Amino acid sequence: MTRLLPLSLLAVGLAGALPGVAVAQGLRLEGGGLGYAVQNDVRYLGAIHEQTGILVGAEGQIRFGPVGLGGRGMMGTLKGSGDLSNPDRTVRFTTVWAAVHVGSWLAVGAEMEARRYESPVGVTVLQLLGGRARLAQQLGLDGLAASVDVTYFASAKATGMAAPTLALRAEVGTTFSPGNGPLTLRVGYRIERFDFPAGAAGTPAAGSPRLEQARGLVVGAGVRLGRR
Amino acid sequence: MSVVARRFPRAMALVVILAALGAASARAQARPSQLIATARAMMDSLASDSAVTLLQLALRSESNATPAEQVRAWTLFGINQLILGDVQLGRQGFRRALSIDPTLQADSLASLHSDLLREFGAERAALGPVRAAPMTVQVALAGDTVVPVTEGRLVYAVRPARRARVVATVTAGDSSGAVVRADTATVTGDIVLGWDLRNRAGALVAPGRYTLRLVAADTTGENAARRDYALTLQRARVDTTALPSAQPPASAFVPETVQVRGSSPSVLLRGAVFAAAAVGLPMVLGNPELRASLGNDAKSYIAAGAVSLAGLYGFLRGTRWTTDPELQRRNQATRDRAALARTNTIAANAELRARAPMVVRTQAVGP
Repeated sequence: MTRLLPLSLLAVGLAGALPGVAVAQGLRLEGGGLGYAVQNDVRYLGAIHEQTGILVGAEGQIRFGPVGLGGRGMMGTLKGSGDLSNPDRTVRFTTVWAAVHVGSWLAVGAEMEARRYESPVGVTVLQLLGGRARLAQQLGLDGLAASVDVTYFASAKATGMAAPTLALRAEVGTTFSPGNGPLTLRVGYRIERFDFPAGAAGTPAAGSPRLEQARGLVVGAGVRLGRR
Repeated sequence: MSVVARRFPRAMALVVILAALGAASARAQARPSQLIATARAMMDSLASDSAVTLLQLALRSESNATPAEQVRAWTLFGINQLILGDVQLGRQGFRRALSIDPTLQADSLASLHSDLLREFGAERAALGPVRAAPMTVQVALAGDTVVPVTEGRLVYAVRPARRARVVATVTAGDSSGAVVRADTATVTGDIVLGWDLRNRAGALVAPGRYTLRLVAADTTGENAARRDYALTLQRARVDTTALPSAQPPASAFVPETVQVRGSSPSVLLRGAVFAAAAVGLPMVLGNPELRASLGNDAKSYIAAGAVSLAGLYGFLRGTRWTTDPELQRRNQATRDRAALARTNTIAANAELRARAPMVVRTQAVGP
């Protein structure tokens, strides 16, 4: 506890100082909370299982000139049927990315994500690395825009299960800053797809790949500071 | 009319002239050239005796007549004496004139009387072969001078030793250059000549180097004197107006675009495209084996609706920039005014430079 207090004070101090630094240095800071009302479908051993839940988290990014660095954390519970074939899963996603804004409408970069699934059956961890692209268009007003984000994870490692052969995520949505002010609101539709290979011969999963697909609404609210 | 009666008016005229000259000499000595000119006029009035009196006054030692004036006075004296019938005094006059200028020509005497030319020729023959003294010429020319380009002249005084034909030539560059201007005058005594810095066509010459050559040749043409002067012409400096910039400062312009209510219809289209993307996303990226479970995902329609509404809101509440022709005209007028001011300044500066006086530096280079 005595160690945490100085660190907490330092974090609070940094958080308080960042907006001023951002304005002075021409930085742009964005941050806020978001919720993801997700429906996760899993096709395994010929049956499709459905899990639903609401994940919550926070997201932030800092942009200096054309370069942006960001991070996101989300957690929550996906509720299944409750039996062992479709247990509830506690999930925790941590994501970081770096992007370069090629123009006012396009940014490309790299993204790394760790996904942790915990259920009565066990713990599974996915480590994903890939490229991302974001296409955005203003909708006639400053602070009002529509965007498409696509991330393709070319590299994946898994602990507790086989690594996915295909992993990607896409989101379409709109962001709005009333009066072009610091408050930002966002709503979007997200879909995530993970295809896992079939199990080895002689196992129950032989010849039957595990397919997972999550989609749902993402809503968020936050602030942005610094250069528009 | 008797001889006395005929001579009385001439005597009266001489008295009047002498009285006038006497009055003049009381203020300043009458110039020999004036006396000689008056005597020549008296000859035209057939008043040779009066002319002789005036010539004697001009030839007095205190009159300081130049050699050329003495030659002319003695010649006229001889002519008048011959007209009056005194051959001895007439020939004496010619002799004195020839003693000063052995090259003296008197061809024009034949038009007065053939006897005059004969007596002159006899006196000339009595002198034997003529060996004229070398011709000399004096020139007075300012070292450096400023000459206005309108109505201005580079003035120089020429004084040949005796009656001479003076030729003044201006050439471009050195004396072998193209002739720019030439003037000729027959001079007895001195003469003031000038160059208005213009060529034979009347155009002002360009700044640069020129040569002024003055040649004084006597009446035989056998004796001549020459003076060469290098003339360097350059424009005097003038204070011109600083040239305004061709491009007015940015602050002189007004924005040519104005913001008007209502965005471009493309905003609606963009919103629709993104909305379609939201609806189509599961179909495009979803796993075919799980597609059945996607069905008509209401959440994607919610997102598509939100994006469409955003596009509609942006279209209705947004603004767009449009070009205002009136503002464009104002800016064009600003550009035109700047261009006109620049053109006028260029013209005014050119006029100033064209009217700038010429500084003439002179340097004697000839013999």
